[in-house]
Amino acid sequence: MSGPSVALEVFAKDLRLDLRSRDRIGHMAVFALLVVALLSIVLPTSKTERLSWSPALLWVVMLFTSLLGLARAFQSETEEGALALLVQAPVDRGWIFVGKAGASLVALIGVELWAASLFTVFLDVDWSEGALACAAAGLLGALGLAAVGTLLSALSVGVRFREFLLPVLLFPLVLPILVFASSITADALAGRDVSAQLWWTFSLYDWVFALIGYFVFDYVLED
Amino acid sequence: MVSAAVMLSVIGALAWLLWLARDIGERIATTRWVGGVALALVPVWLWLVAYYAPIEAAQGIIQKIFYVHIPAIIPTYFGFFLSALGGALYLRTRDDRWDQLAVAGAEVGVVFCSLMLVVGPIWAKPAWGHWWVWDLRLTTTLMLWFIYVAYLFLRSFAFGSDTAKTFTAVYGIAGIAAIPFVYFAVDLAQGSTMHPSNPTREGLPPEMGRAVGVGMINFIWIFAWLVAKRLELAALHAHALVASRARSA
Amino acid sequence: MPWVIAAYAVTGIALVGYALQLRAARRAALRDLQRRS
Repeated sequence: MSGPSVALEVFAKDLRLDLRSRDRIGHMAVFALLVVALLSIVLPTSKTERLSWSPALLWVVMLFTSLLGLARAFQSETEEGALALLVQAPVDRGWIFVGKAGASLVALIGVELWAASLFTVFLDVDWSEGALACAAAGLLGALGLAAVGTLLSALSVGVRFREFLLPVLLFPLVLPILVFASSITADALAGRDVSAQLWWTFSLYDWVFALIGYFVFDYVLED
Repeated sequence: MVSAAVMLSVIGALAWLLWLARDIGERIATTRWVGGVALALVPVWLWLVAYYAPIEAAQGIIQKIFYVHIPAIIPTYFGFFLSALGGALYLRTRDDRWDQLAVAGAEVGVVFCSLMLVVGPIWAKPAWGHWWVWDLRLTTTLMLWFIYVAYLFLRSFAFGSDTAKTFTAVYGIAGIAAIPFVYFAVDLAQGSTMHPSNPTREGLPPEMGRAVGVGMINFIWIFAWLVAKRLELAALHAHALVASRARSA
Repeated sequence: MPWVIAAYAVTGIALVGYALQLRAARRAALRDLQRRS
Protein backbone atom coordinates (compact mmCIF):
# COMPACT_ATOMS: atom_id res chain seq x y z
CA MET A 1 0.00 0.00 0.00
CA SER A 2 1.66 3.17 -1.10
CA GLY A 3 1.60 6.51 0.67
CA PRO A 4 -0.48 8.46 -1.78
CA SER A 5 -3.03 5.69 -1.98
CA VAL A 6 -3.43 5.79 1.78
CA ALA A 7 -3.94 9.52 1.53
CA LEU A 8 -6.49 9.04 -1.19
CA GLU A 9 -8.33 6.45 0.85
CA VAL A 10 -8.51 8.68 3.91
CA PHE A 11 -9.53 11.61 1.73
CA ALA A 12 -12.27 9.68 -0.04
CA LYS A 13 -13.59 8.19 3.16
CA ASP A 14 -13.83 11.56 4.86
CA LEU A 15 -15.49 13.12 1.84
CA ARG A 16 -17.99 10.30 1.60
CA LEU A 17 -18.76 10.75 5.28
CA ASP A 18 -19.23 14.47 4.81
CA LEU A 19 -21.48 14.12 1.83
CA ARG A 20 -23.54 11.31 3.22
CA SER A 21 -24.20 12.61 6.70
CA ARG A 22 -24.03 16.28 5.75
CA ASP A 23 -23.42 17.01 9.42
CA ARG A 24 -20.19 18.86 9.09
CA ILE A 25 -20.97 20.71 5.89
CA GLY A 26 -24.52 21.47 6.93
CA HIS A 27 -23.56 22.87 10.30
CA MET A 28 -20.82 25.00 8.82
CA ALA A 29 -23.18 26.36 6.16
CA VAL A 30 -25.89 27.29 8.62
CA PHE A 31 -23.38 28.83 10.97
CA ALA A 32 -21.88 30.95 8.19
CA LEU A 33 -25.35 32.06 7.16
CA LEU A 34 -26.20 33.04 10.70
CA VAL A 35 -23.04 35.05 11.19
CA VAL A 36 -23.24 36.88 7.88
CA ALA A 37 -26.91 37.68 8.45
CA LEU A 38 -26.13 39.09 11.87
CA LEU A 39 -23.27 41.12 10.52
CA SER A 40 -25.37 42.51 7.72
CA ILE A 41 -27.88 43.84 10.20
CA VAL A 42 -25.27 45.30 12.48
CA LEU A 43 -22.83 46.79 10.02
CA PRO A 44 -23.04 50.38 8.77
CA THR A 45 -25.07 50.55 5.63
CA SER A 46 -22.98 52.76 3.41
CA LYS A 47 -21.56 50.79 0.55
CA THR A 48 -18.03 52.11 0.79
CA GLU A 49 -17.87 51.25 4.46
CA ARG A 50 -19.09 47.74 3.83
CA LEU A 51 -16.62 47.29 1.05
CA SER A 52 -13.72 48.33 3.24
CA TRP A 53 -14.63 45.84 5.98
CA SER A 54 -15.83 42.97 3.82
CA PRO A 55 -12.54 41.29 2.93
CA ALA A 56 -11.43 41.08 6.54
CA LEU A 57 -14.92 40.12 7.67
CA LEU A 58 -15.15 37.34 5.14
CA TRP A 59 -12.03 35.80 6.56
CA VAL A 60 -13.16 36.22 10.14
CA VAL A 61 -16.35 34.38 9.20
CA MET A 62 -14.22 31.71 7.52
CA LEU A 63 -12.10 31.38 10.62
CA PHE A 64 -14.97 30.78 12.99
CA THR A 65 -16.80 28.52 10.60
CA SER A 66 -13.72 26.44 9.97
CA LEU A 67 -13.42 25.84 13.70
CA LEU A 68 -16.65 23.90 13.51
CA GLY A 69 -15.38 21.73 10.71
CA LEU A 70 -11.90 21.20 12.09
CA ALA A 71 -13.09 20.05 15.46
CA ARG A 72 -14.80 17.20 13.68
CA ALA A 73 -11.77 16.14 11.70
CA PHE A 74 -10.80 13.40 14.09
CA GLN A 75 -14.04 12.87 15.87
CA SER A 76 -16.15 10.14 14.36
CA GLU A 77 -16.38 6.86 16.20
CA THR A 78 -15.45 4.72 13.29
CA GLU A 79 -12.38 6.90 13.32
CA GLU A 80 -10.79 4.91 16.10
CA GLY A 81 -10.92 1.60 14.33
CA ALA A 82 -10.19 2.87 10.89
CA LEU A 83 -7.35 5.07 12.02
CA ALA A 84 -5.78 2.30 14.06
CA LEU A 85 -5.75 0.13 10.95
CA LEU A 86 -4.25 2.83 8.82
CA VAL A 87 -1.59 3.60 11.38
CA GLN A 88 -0.31 0.09 11.01
CA ALA A 89 0.23 0.50 7.30
CA PRO A 90 3.96 0.60 6.47
CA VAL A 91 3.82 4.05 5.05
CA ASP A 92 4.68 7.50 6.23
CA ARG A 93 1.79 8.55 8.45
CA GLY A 94 2.18 11.96 6.96
CA TRP A 95 0.00 10.67 4.14
CA ILE A 96 -2.86 10.32 6.57
CA PHE A 97 -2.38 13.99 7.29
CA VAL A 98 -2.53 14.72 3.58
CA GLY A 99 -5.77 12.82 3.21
CA LYS A 100 -7.39 14.45 6.22
CA ALA A 101 -6.25 17.92 5.30
CA GLY A 102 -7.44 17.35 1.76
CA ALA A 103 -10.93 16.51 2.95
CA SER A 104 -10.96 19.60 5.17
CA LEU A 105 -9.76 21.63 2.22
CA VAL A 106 -12.72 20.57 0.13
CA ALA A 107 -15.10 21.43 2.94
CA LEU A 108 -13.44 24.80 3.45
CA ILE A 109 -13.57 25.69 -0.22
CA GLY A 110 -17.23 24.84 -0.18
CA VAL A 111 -17.83 27.06 2.82
CA GLU A 112 -15.81 29.83 1.22
CA LEU A 113 -17.87 29.83 -1.95
CA TRP A 114 -20.99 29.76 0.17
CA ALA A 115 -19.81 32.64 2.38
CA ALA A 116 -18.73 34.69 -0.62
CA SER A 117 -22.18 34.31 -2.17
CA LEU A 118 -23.76 35.30 1.12
CA PHE A 119 -21.67 38.43 1.13
CA THR A 120 -22.88 39.21 -2.37
CA VAL A 121 -26.49 38.67 -1.44
CA PHE A 122 -26.55 40.34 1.96
CA LEU A 123 -23.81 42.90 1.72
CA ASP A 124 -23.83 43.73 -1.96
CA VAL A 125 -20.22 42.76 -2.43
CA ASP A 126 -19.25 42.34 -6.04
CA TRP A 127 -16.41 39.87 -6.28
CA SER A 128 -16.06 40.10 -10.03
CA GLU A 129 -13.83 43.14 -9.79
CA GLY A 130 -10.76 41.05 -9.00
CA ALA A 131 -12.23 37.61 -9.25
CA LEU A 132 -9.06 35.76 -10.12
CA ALA A 133 -7.04 37.27 -7.31
CA CYS A 134 -9.87 36.72 -4.84
CA ALA A 135 -10.20 33.11 -5.93
CA ALA A 136 -6.46 32.55 -5.62
CA ALA A 137 -6.42 34.17 -2.19
CA GLY A 138 -9.36 31.99 -1.26
CA LEU A 139 -7.55 28.87 -2.35
CA LEU A 140 -4.35 29.76 -0.53
CA GLY A 141 -6.33 30.67 2.55
CA ALA A 142 -8.27 27.42 2.49
CA LEU A 143 -5.04 25.47 2.04
CA GLY A 144 -3.47 27.18 5.02
CA LEU A 145 -6.49 26.72 7.24
CA ALA A 146 -6.76 23.08 6.20
CA ALA A 147 -3.10 22.38 6.91
CA VAL A 148 -2.77 24.18 10.23
CA GLY A 149 -6.28 23.28 11.30
CA THR A 150 -5.91 19.57 10.63
CA LEU A 151 -2.61 19.49 12.47
CA LEU A 152 -3.99 21.29 15.51
CA SER A 153 -7.17 19.28 15.45
CA ALA A 154 -5.03 16.17 15.79
CA LEU A 155 -3.05 17.87 18.56
CA SER A 156 -6.14 18.38 20.64
CA VAL A 157 -7.73 14.97 20.36
CA GLY A 158 -8.56 13.62 23.77
CA VAL A 159 -7.46 16.79 25.45
CA ARG A 160 -9.62 18.53 28.00
CA PHE A 161 -11.55 21.65 27.12
CA ARG A 162 -11.08 21.08 23.43
CA GLU A 163 -13.71 23.67 22.40
CA PHE A 164 -11.62 26.27 24.15
CA LEU A 165 -8.23 24.90 23.28
CA LEU A 166 -8.57 24.50 19.55
CA PRO A 167 -9.30 28.19 18.86
CA VAL A 168 -6.62 29.24 21.31
CA LEU A 169 -4.09 27.07 19.52
CA LEU A 170 -5.33 28.01 16.08
CA PHE A 171 -5.85 31.75 16.06
CA PRO A 172 -2.31 32.97 16.66
CA LEU A 173 -0.91 30.61 14.06
CA VAL A 174 -3.42 31.52 11.36
CA LEU A 175 -3.27 35.28 11.83
CA PRO A 176 -1.02 35.46 8.77
CA ILE A 177 -3.67 33.71 6.69
CA LEU A 178 -6.24 36.25 7.77
CA VAL A 179 -3.99 39.16 7.01
CA PHE A 180 -2.67 37.87 3.69
CA ALA A 181 -6.03 36.75 2.34
CA SER A 182 -7.97 39.84 3.35
CA SER A 183 -5.17 42.10 2.14
CA ILE A 184 -5.15 40.46 -1.29
CA THR A 185 -8.93 40.48 -1.45
CA ALA A 186 -9.09 44.15 -0.46
CA ASP A 187 -6.50 45.06 -3.07
CA ALA A 188 -8.25 43.02 -5.73
CA LEU A 189 -11.64 44.58 -5.04
CA ALA A 190 -10.14 48.04 -5.18
CA GLY A 191 -8.40 47.27 -8.41
CA ARG A 192 -4.93 47.57 -6.94
CA ASP A 193 -2.04 45.31 -7.86
CA VAL A 194 -1.08 42.67 -5.39
CA SER A 195 2.63 42.50 -4.66
CA ALA A 196 4.47 39.41 -5.78
CA GLN A 197 6.15 39.22 -2.40
CA LEU A 198 2.79 38.77 -0.78
CA TRP A 199 1.85 35.90 -3.09
CA TRP A 200 5.17 34.21 -2.46
CA THR A 201 4.98 34.63 1.29
CA PHE A 202 1.43 33.34 1.41
CA SER A 203 2.35 30.30 -0.67
CA LEU A 204 5.43 29.76 1.45
CA TYR A 205 3.32 29.79 4.59
CA ASP A 206 1.01 27.12 3.18
CA TRP A 207 3.94 25.06 2.03
CA VAL A 208 5.75 25.30 5.36
CA PHE A 209 2.76 24.14 7.34
CA ALA A 210 1.86 21.42 4.90
CA LEU A 211 5.39 20.10 5.32
CA ILE A 212 5.31 20.41 9.08
CA GLY A 213 2.01 18.58 9.19
CA TYR A 214 3.30 15.85 6.95
CA PHE A 215 6.56 15.25 8.78
CA VAL A 216 5.23 15.60 12.26
CA PHE A 217 2.19 13.36 11.92
CA ASP A 218 4.28 10.27 12.51
CA TYR A 219 4.84 11.46 16.05
CA VAL A 220 1.34 12.79 16.54
CA LEU A 221 -0.35 9.55 15.66
CA GLU A 222 1.79 7.32 17.79
CA ASP A 223 -0.92 7.40 20.41
CA MET B 1 32.34 45.37 22.04
CA VAL B 2 29.24 45.30 24.15
CA SER B 3 27.21 43.64 21.43
CA ALA B 4 29.89 40.99 21.13
CA ALA B 5 29.51 40.37 24.84
CA VAL B 6 25.75 40.08 24.41
CA MET B 7 26.14 37.52 21.64
CA LEU B 8 28.66 35.59 23.70
CA SER B 9 26.22 35.58 26.57
CA VAL B 10 23.47 34.17 24.41
CA ILE B 11 25.69 31.43 23.04
CA GLY B 12 27.15 30.74 26.45
CA ALA B 13 23.76 30.56 28.11
CA LEU B 14 22.44 28.27 25.41
CA ALA B 15 25.41 25.95 25.67
CA TRP B 16 25.18 25.86 29.44
CA LEU B 17 21.46 25.12 29.42
CA LEU B 18 21.82 22.36 26.86
CA TRP B 19 24.61 20.84 28.91
CA LEU B 20 22.63 21.28 32.08
CA ALA B 21 19.50 19.64 30.70
CA ARG B 22 21.27 16.39 30.04
CA ASP B 23 22.07 15.73 33.67
CA ILE B 24 20.34 18.29 35.80
CA GLY B 25 20.71 16.22 38.93
CA GLU B 26 24.49 16.23 38.94
CA ARG B 27 25.12 19.53 37.25
CA ILE B 28 22.74 21.75 39.18
CA ALA B 29 25.60 23.00 41.35
CA THR B 30 26.83 25.20 38.54
CA THR B 31 23.64 27.20 38.89
CA ARG B 32 25.08 28.86 41.94
CA TRP B 33 27.78 30.53 39.89
CA VAL B 34 25.40 31.72 37.25
CA GLY B 35 23.03 33.04 39.88
CA GLY B 36 25.90 34.87 41.53
CA VAL B 37 26.99 36.51 38.29
CA ALA B 38 23.44 37.53 37.43
CA LEU B 39 22.89 38.96 40.87
CA ALA B 40 26.21 40.82 40.84
CA LEU B 41 25.36 42.42 37.53
CA VAL B 42 22.12 43.90 38.80
CA PRO B 43 23.60 46.80 40.80
CA VAL B 44 26.10 47.44 37.99
CA TRP B 45 23.30 47.67 35.48
CA LEU B 46 21.15 49.85 37.72
CA TRP B 47 24.02 52.20 38.37
CA LEU B 48 24.66 52.48 34.65
CA VAL B 49 21.00 53.24 34.07
CA ALA B 50 20.76 55.81 36.83
CA TYR B 51 24.05 57.65 36.56
CA TYR B 52 26.04 56.65 33.53
CA ALA B 53 23.44 56.85 30.79
CA PRO B 54 22.55 60.42 29.92
CA ILE B 55 19.01 61.68 30.18
CA GLU B 56 17.47 61.71 26.77
CA ALA B 57 16.45 65.08 25.42
CA ALA B 58 13.03 64.34 23.98
CA GLN B 59 11.44 62.07 26.57
CA GLY B 60 13.30 63.07 29.69
CA ILE B 61 13.52 60.69 32.57
CA ILE B 62 10.75 58.46 31.18
CA GLN B 63 13.17 57.21 28.59
CA LYS B 64 14.98 55.33 31.34
CA ILE B 65 12.32 52.65 31.10
CA PHE B 66 14.00 51.77 27.84
CA TYR B 67 16.79 50.09 29.83
CA VAL B 68 14.45 47.62 31.48
CA HIS B 69 12.17 47.07 28.51
CA ILE B 70 14.68 46.25 25.80
CA PRO B 71 16.69 43.67 27.75
CA ALA B 72 13.53 41.58 28.10
CA ILE B 73 13.41 40.98 24.36
CA ILE B 74 16.17 38.41 24.14
CA PRO B 75 14.82 36.16 26.92
CA THR B 76 11.37 36.33 25.34
CA TYR B 77 12.62 34.90 22.08
CA PHE B 78 15.23 32.74 23.74
CA GLY B 79 12.50 30.97 25.70
CA PHE B 80 10.62 30.29 22.54
CA PHE B 81 13.69 28.96 20.85
CA LEU B 82 14.49 26.65 23.76
CA SER B 83 10.94 25.40 23.73
CA ALA B 84 10.98 24.59 20.04
CA LEU B 85 14.46 23.10 20.19
CA GLY B 86 13.64 21.00 23.22
CA GLY B 87 10.45 19.84 21.56
CA ALA B 88 12.19 18.87 18.35
CA LEU B 89 14.89 16.99 20.25
CA TYR B 90 12.25 15.26 22.32
CA LEU B 91 10.42 14.10 19.19
CA ARG B 92 13.66 12.75 17.81
CA THR B 93 15.02 11.02 20.89
CA ARG B 94 11.94 10.53 23.10
CA ASP B 95 14.21 11.61 25.91
CA ASP B 96 12.24 13.31 28.68
CA ARG B 97 15.11 15.64 29.49
CA TRP B 98 14.51 17.57 26.30
CA ASP B 99 10.84 17.85 27.05
CA GLN B 100 11.77 19.29 30.44
CA LEU B 101 13.94 21.87 28.73
CA ALA B 102 11.07 22.76 26.40
CA VAL B 103 8.66 23.34 29.27
CA ALA B 104 11.21 25.35 31.24
CA GLY B 105 11.91 27.51 28.23
CA ALA B 106 8.23 28.14 27.64
CA GLU B 107 7.43 29.02 31.22
CA VAL B 108 10.31 31.39 31.80
CA GLY B 109 9.86 32.83 28.33
CA VAL B 110 6.23 33.67 28.98
CA VAL B 111 7.25 35.52 32.14
CA PHE B 112 9.54 37.78 30.16
CA CYS B 113 7.02 38.13 27.36
CA SER B 114 4.36 39.20 29.83
CA LEU B 115 6.80 41.65 31.32
CA MET B 116 7.33 43.24 27.94
CA LEU B 117 3.60 43.61 27.48
CA VAL B 118 3.24 45.28 30.86
CA VAL B 119 6.34 47.48 30.85
CA GLY B 120 5.75 48.56 27.27
CA PRO B 121 2.49 50.33 28.06
CA ILE B 122 3.97 51.75 31.26
CA TRP B 123 6.48 53.42 28.99
CA ALA B 124 4.09 54.24 26.18
CA LYS B 125 1.50 56.10 28.21
CA PRO B 126 3.73 58.86 29.57
CA ALA B 127 5.97 58.92 26.52
CA TRP B 128 3.42 58.92 23.70
CA GLY B 129 0.06 59.35 25.38
CA HIS B 130 -1.40 55.93 24.61
CA TRP B 131 -1.42 52.80 26.71
CA TRP B 132 -1.38 50.61 23.67
CA VAL B 133 -0.67 50.99 19.99
CA TRP B 134 -1.06 48.37 17.34
CA ASP B 135 2.40 48.77 15.98
CA LEU B 136 4.70 46.10 14.70
CA ARG B 137 6.76 45.29 17.77
CA LEU B 138 4.02 45.42 20.34
CA THR B 139 1.60 43.44 18.19
CA THR B 140 4.06 40.68 17.39
CA THR B 141 5.00 40.47 21.06
CA LEU B 142 1.32 40.07 21.86
CA MET B 143 0.99 37.30 19.24
CA LEU B 144 4.04 35.62 20.68
CA TRP B 145 2.40 35.77 24.07
CA PHE B 146 -0.75 34.14 22.69
CA ILE B 147 1.32 31.30 21.24
CA TYR B 148 3.11 30.85 24.55
CA VAL B 149 -0.17 30.79 26.43
CA ALA B 150 -1.70 28.33 23.96
CA TYR B 151 1.32 26.08 24.46
CA LEU B 152 0.97 26.19 28.23
CA PHE B 153 -2.78 25.55 28.09
CA LEU B 154 -2.22 22.57 25.82
CA ARG B 155 0.36 21.29 28.23
CA SER B 156 -1.87 21.61 31.25
CA PHE B 157 -4.99 20.24 29.61
CA ALA B 158 -3.24 17.18 28.28
CA PHE B 159 -2.32 16.06 31.77
CA GLY B 160 1.42 15.77 31.44
CA SER B 161 1.18 12.35 29.91
CA ASP B 162 3.43 11.27 27.07
CA THR B 163 0.82 12.54 24.67
CA ALA B 164 1.14 15.99 26.22
CA LYS B 165 4.86 15.99 25.62
CA THR B 166 4.47 15.04 22.00
CA PHE B 167 1.67 17.48 21.38
CA THR B 168 3.41 20.44 22.96
CA ALA B 169 6.62 19.58 21.13
CA VAL B 170 4.74 19.74 17.85
CA TYR B 171 2.99 22.95 18.80
CA GLY B 172 6.27 24.53 19.79
CA ILE B 173 7.65 23.76 16.36
CA ALA B 174 4.52 25.03 14.62
CA GLY B 175 4.64 28.13 16.78
CA ILE B 176 8.18 29.06 15.99
CA ALA B 177 7.57 28.41 12.29
CA ALA B 178 4.66 30.82 12.39
CA ILE B 179 6.56 33.70 13.97
CA PRO B 180 8.30 35.10 10.89
CA PHE B 181 5.00 34.98 9.03
CA VAL B 182 3.21 36.69 11.88
CA TYR B 183 5.86 39.39 11.82
CA PHE B 184 5.42 39.89 8.10
CA ALA B 185 1.63 39.83 8.40
CA VAL B 186 1.50 42.40 11.17
CA ASP B 187 3.87 44.62 9.24
CA LEU B 188 1.59 44.35 6.24
CA ALA B 189 -1.53 45.04 8.25
CA GLN B 190 -0.18 48.04 10.11
CA GLY B 191 1.50 49.99 7.35
CA SER B 192 3.16 52.64 9.42
CA THR B 193 4.50 52.05 12.88
CA MET B 194 4.42 54.23 15.94
CA HIS B 195 7.05 52.27 17.78
CA PRO B 196 10.34 54.10 18.05
CA SER B 197 12.53 52.75 15.34
CA ASN B 198 15.42 50.68 16.51
CA PRO B 199 17.58 53.23 18.26
CA THR B 200 20.82 51.38 17.71
CA ARG B 201 20.34 51.76 14.01
CA GLU B 202 19.73 55.43 14.42
CA GLY B 203 22.91 55.80 16.35
CA LEU B 204 22.44 55.46 20.06
CA PRO B 205 24.90 57.43 22.15
CA PRO B 206 27.56 54.95 23.30
CA GLU B 207 26.72 55.41 26.97
CA MET B 208 23.17 54.40 26.32
CA GLY B 209 24.33 51.50 24.20
CA ARG B 210 26.52 50.20 26.99
CA ALA B 211 23.78 50.52 29.57
CA VAL B 212 21.37 48.59 27.38
CA GLY B 213 24.04 46.03 26.58
CA VAL B 214 24.80 45.36 30.20
CA GLY B 215 21.08 45.12 30.86
CA MET B 216 20.77 42.56 28.08
CA ILE B 217 23.62 40.48 29.45
CA ASN B 218 22.13 40.71 32.90
CA PHE B 219 18.72 39.57 31.75
CA ILE B 220 20.16 36.72 29.68
CA TRP B 221 21.83 35.24 32.74
CA ILE B 222 18.80 35.85 34.94
CA PHE B 223 16.79 34.04 32.31
CA ALA B 224 19.28 31.19 32.17
CA TRP B 225 19.30 30.85 35.94
CA LEU B 226 15.49 30.77 36.06
CA VAL B 227 15.37 28.14 33.31
CA ALA B 228 17.90 26.07 35.25
CA LYS B 229 15.76 26.28 38.37
CA ARG B 230 12.67 25.35 36.43
CA LEU B 231 14.55 22.43 34.88
CA GLU B 232 15.44 21.23 38.34
CA LEU B 233 11.80 21.36 39.31
CA ALA B 234 10.75 19.42 36.23
CA ALA B 235 13.34 16.76 36.98
CA LEU B 236 12.08 16.49 40.57
CA HIS B 237 8.53 16.05 39.35
CA ALA B 238 9.67 13.37 36.95
CA HIS B 239 11.44 11.53 39.75
CA ALA B 240 8.35 11.72 41.89
CA LEU B 241 6.37 10.17 39.09
CA VAL B 242 8.92 7.41 38.66
CA ALA B 243 9.07 6.80 42.39
CA SER B 244 5.31 6.51 42.74
CA ARG B 245 5.12 4.23 39.74
CA ALA B 246 7.85 2.05 41.18
CA ARG B 247 5.97 1.77 44.43
CA SER B 248 2.69 0.85 42.82
CA ALA B 249 4.38 -1.64 40.51
CA MET C 1 9.30 59.56 37.39
CA PRO C 2 6.81 57.32 39.16
CA TRP C 3 6.37 55.59 35.82
CA VAL C 4 10.03 54.71 35.78
CA ILE C 5 9.85 53.34 39.29
CA ALA C 6 6.76 51.37 38.35
CA ALA C 7 8.46 49.81 35.36
CA TYR C 8 11.51 48.67 37.30
CA ALA C 9 9.43 47.62 40.28
CA VAL C 10 7.10 45.50 38.17
CA THR C 11 10.07 43.82 36.56
CA GLY C 12 11.77 43.16 39.86
CA ILE C 13 8.64 41.87 41.52
CA ALA C 14 7.79 39.61 38.61
CA LEU C 15 11.23 38.04 38.42
CA VAL C 16 11.74 37.70 42.14
CA GLY C 17 8.18 36.48 42.55
CA TYR C 18 8.67 33.81 39.94
CA ALA C 19 11.95 32.74 41.50
CA LEU C 20 10.28 32.47 44.90
CA GLN C 21 7.45 30.47 43.41
CA LEU C 22 9.98 28.08 41.91
CA ARG C 23 11.67 27.74 45.24
CA ALA C 24 8.41 26.95 47.00
CA ALA C 25 7.51 24.39 44.35
CA ARG C 26 10.95 22.86 44.66
CA ARG C 27 10.59 22.46 48.40
CA ALA C 28 7.16 20.91 47.96
CA ALA C 29 8.54 18.50 45.37
CA LEU C 30 11.43 17.51 47.64
CA ARG C 31 9.09 16.87 50.55
CA ASP C 32 6.90 14.88 48.24
CA LEU C 33 9.83 12.80 47.07
CA GLN C 34 10.91 12.05 50.62
CA ARG C 35 7.44 10.94 51.43
CA ARG C 36 7.37 8.52 48.57
CA SER C 37 10.80 7.01 49.06
